Amino acid sequence: MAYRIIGSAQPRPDAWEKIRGRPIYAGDLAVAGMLHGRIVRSPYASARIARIDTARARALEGVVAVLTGDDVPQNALRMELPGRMAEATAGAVVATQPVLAHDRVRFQGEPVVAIAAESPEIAAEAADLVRVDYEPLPGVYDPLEALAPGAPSVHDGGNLLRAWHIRKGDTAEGFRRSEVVVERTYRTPFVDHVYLETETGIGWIDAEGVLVLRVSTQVLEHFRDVADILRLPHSRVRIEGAYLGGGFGGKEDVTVECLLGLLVWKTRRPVQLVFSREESFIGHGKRHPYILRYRTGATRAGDLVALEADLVSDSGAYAALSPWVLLYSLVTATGPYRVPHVRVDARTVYTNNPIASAYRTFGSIQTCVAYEGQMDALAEALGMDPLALRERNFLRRGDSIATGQVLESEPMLAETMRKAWDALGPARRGQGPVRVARGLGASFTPYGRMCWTRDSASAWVGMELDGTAVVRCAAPDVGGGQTFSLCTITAEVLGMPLEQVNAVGRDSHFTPRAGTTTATRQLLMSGNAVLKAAREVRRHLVDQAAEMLEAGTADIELADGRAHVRGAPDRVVAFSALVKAATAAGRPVQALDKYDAPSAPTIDPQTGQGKPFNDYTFGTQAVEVEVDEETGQTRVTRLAACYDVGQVINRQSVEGQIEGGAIQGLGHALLEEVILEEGVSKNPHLLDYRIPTTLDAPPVVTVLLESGHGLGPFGAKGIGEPAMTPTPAAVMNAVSRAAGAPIAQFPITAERVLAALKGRSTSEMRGD
Amino acid sequence: MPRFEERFTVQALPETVWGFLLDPNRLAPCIPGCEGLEIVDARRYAMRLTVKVGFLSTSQAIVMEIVEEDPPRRLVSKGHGEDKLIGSQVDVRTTLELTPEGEGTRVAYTSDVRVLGRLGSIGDAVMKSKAGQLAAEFARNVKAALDSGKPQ
Repeated sequence: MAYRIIGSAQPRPDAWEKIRGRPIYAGDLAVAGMLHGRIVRSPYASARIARIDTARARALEGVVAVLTGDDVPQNALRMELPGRMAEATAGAVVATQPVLAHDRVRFQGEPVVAIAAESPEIAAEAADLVRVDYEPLPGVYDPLEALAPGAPSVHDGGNLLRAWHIRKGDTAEGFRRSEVVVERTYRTPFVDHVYLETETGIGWIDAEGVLVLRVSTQVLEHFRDVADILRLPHSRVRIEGAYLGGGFGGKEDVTVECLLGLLVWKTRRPVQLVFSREESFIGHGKRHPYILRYRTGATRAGDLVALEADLVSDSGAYAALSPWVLLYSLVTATGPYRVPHVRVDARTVYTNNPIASAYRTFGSIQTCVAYEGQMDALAEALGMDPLALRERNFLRRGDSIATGQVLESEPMLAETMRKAWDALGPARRGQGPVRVARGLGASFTPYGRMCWTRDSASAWVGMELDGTAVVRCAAPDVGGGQTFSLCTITAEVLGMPLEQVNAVGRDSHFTPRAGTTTATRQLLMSGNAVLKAAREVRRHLVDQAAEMLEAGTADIELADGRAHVRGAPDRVVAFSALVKAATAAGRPVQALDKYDAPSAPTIDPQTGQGKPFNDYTFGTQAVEVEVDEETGQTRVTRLAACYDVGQVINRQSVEGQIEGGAIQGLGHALLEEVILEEGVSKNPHLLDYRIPTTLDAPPVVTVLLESGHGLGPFGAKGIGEPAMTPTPAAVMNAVSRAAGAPIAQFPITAERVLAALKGRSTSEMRGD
Repeated sequence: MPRFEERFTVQALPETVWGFLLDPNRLAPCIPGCEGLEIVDARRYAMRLTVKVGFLSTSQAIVMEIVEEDPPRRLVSKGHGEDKLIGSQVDVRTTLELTPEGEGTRVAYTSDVRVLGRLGSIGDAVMKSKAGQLAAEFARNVKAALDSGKPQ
C-alpha cells in the first residue's frame, strides 16, 4: 500500500535542538525558592546500621530537612508494574525495597539519609556531617555461591528469587539421537546504561495540594509508587515527564521519584534532586550478569535436535524487574531456531551486588550470545558453513518456538542473514599482525509486554480551529522518536502536512494514559491507540466535508490539509474552514480511543508452555573485525544490520534506533563492565568505565525489510530493543574466528583475546 | 577484599616480639605514614595515617582496636579510618601470628584492607599495589627494629 508520509525519511524536529544542546531537560529547570536534595548512601555492600546521628547535619545553617527511614510513611517500595504482573508470580517473591534503608544495607549505594538544603554546597556539607555507624555483615557476591547451602541470606527466605522452566519434547531422547553435541558456558557482566543525563527531577506542591514531580523517566505511572510510600491518594501525586536525556531501561524503575517526593512533601518546598555520575553508577539498576551453560545436539546433516540450557542471573540486592527479565531469557533461550527437544532452567538470585533490572533487550542479549555462540561451535564441529547451518534451522512460519507458540507470520530470517552478510561488502585480508574475520548473530526479541498483562494504551487526537492537529498521549519519548512517530501516524491518517501535527503532554494527570516507554511497546500500543483515534477524527472530517462539498463520503479525499472531491480538485475546502464548520454544526473534531493488546493466559509455570508474547522482531547483524595478534586489540571495522520491521513509520527513526542499538551493543562486546570487589564498584566513573565514542563506531549499513506483518500501526513491528540484541554475539563470533579459539566471556578485552590467541579457551568445549 | 601477606623471621624470642607489638609507641614508627599516635585505652589507639597514592593524598583518622589476643602467639586487631575531605573510608583487619624458630621468631602477617568511597574507586590497581608496598615496608621496619637489638 502506498503511503504519503509513512515510510519516508523525516528529520525529527527535536534533532536539531538536541545536537545544539538546547532542549530543556529536568535538570535545567528551576523554581523560585527551591531546595537542593542530597542522598547519603551506604559505602558497604552488606552491613547493619547500628546508629544514625543526624544532629550535626540538622544544626547546619541552611539545612531544611535530614530524613531517615523513620520519616517515610510507608518505607517499602513495591516491585510490581501496573497490569496484573503478579498473576505469573507463582511463589513468594520478596519484592519490596525500602526508600531509605532502615536497619541494614544490602548494596553499596543504598540510600540511607535524604537531605534538603538551601544550596547544593550546604546539602553536600550536611551529608558529610551525617554519622552512620555500620557493622559490616557477611555478604554474598556470586550468584552460584548465593545458592549454596549456608550462604548468607540477602533477604529472609533464601537467595533464590525466581525460577522459570521450559520442558518441550524429551531432551534425553534428543541427545541420544544427536550425532554431534557442543557444550559451552558463556558469561556476561554487570553493564551500566550510562545515559548522558543522570537521574534527575524537580518537584513542588501546587495550589490544589497536589504533589507534582517533573522527572526524567520512562514511566509516568510511578506516581502511584510515590503516593503509596507517602500514604497519599493516588490522585494527589502527578508526574510530568521531562524531555529525556536517555533511558535504555535505566529509567524504568523508580529513580529519584520517591526520594524527591519525600523531600518535597516533608519540607513543603520545591526541591531539585540530581544524581551525580558516581551516584548513577552505584545507585541504579544494571544489566544482569548471566552464567549461561548450554548443551546443543544436532545430526550430522546439521539439524538441531536437542538443547539444554541452565541460566543463572544475578539480581543483586533487590528484586526490581529481575523475574521478568529472566522470563525474556527463558523464552528466547533457543534463539530463532527450530529445536524439537528443549529443557531450560532459569534462576535469578539475590546477592549483595548492585541491583540489576531493565536494560534494553531485557534479558534477550545474554541468551543471544549463548545460542549464537552454540551455532558457530556446532558449525565448526560439523565442518559446515555457519550461514548454511543457520539457514537449515531458522524458524519458519508455522513452526513453534520453545514455549509451543506457533509463529503465524514468516520471520524472514534467512533473508535478513544473507542481506546483512552481503552488506559487509567484499572480503578483506589481514596485513602483518592484523587478522580480519567476520561473524554474525541472528536474533529473536519480543516487542510489547507479556500477553497476560492485558496491556493497553489510550490517546486523544483533536483538531484546532486553524486546521492543525494535536495528539495527547502520555508516552514519554526516550529519544527513539516515539512522539514524532505518533505525529507521523496522525498526519498520514488525516491527510495533513507533518509539521501541522503536534504531540503534547507526557503527563500522568493531563494526558490519556499510554503506559511505559519500555519493552519496545510504544509504537505497538500508543501507535495503535493514536491510529484508532485519528481514524475517528478522520470520519468526522469526511462527514463534514461531504456535507459541505455535496458529495458522498466515499468520494472525499483528505490531502495537504484540505478535503476535496475525488476527480474534482476545484471542489475543495481547507481544514481550517472544515473544522470551524464542524464545530459550528456541533460535530466532534476530536476522539479519545484505547488500544488493547491481544491477551492470553499465563504460561505454564512448570513447562513454560503457552503464548508468552504476541509477536517478535527478527533480524541479523554481521560484523567485520580486525584483531591484532600481538596486542589483542580488536576493532570493529564494519557492521551491517537487516531486520524485518514490518512497516517503516519514519525511516530516519528506524535507522537511528538500529545504529544506536548496534553501537551500544559494541560497548557491551568490547568495553563495558561494572567491576566489583565484594559488591563495591571499582569503576563508578567515566575514567575507568568506557563506552564507545564516535571514534569507535564503524560504518553501519542498515537494510530494512517490510513484511507488513507486525501488530503495530500499518503492520509495523517494534525495533527499539531488537536493534541491540545480536551485536555482542556477532562480535564474539567474529573475534573467536580471528583468534582461532572460542571466546565466551564479556567484555572481549585485549587480555581475553590474547589468551584465546595463545590457545587458552575461555570456556569448555566438547565436539564429538 | 584485598589481602596482603608478609612472612619474615626476626632475631628475638616470641615474648619479646609480643611486647613490641603491644607497645604502640614502638610499633607506630614502623607504620609508614603514621603520625599523631594517641592511646585511647588498653585495647585501642588512634592515629593519623597519611598516604600518597599517585596524584591523590589521603589522610585517614584511624582507630585501631585489639579484638583477639593469645600471647605470645596470635594478635588480631581491626581498625576503621575516615578521610572526610575526599569522602573515603578504610577498614583494616590484621592478624599477626608468631612461631618460635630457633633463637628467633617467625612472624606471619595478614591484613585485609577494604577501601570504601572515592579512594576505593579511583585507580584500583594503583591502590592495591600501593597497599602492598606499605605492607612490605611495615614488615621491613618491624624486622629492622627487632633485629637492631634495641628491644627490652
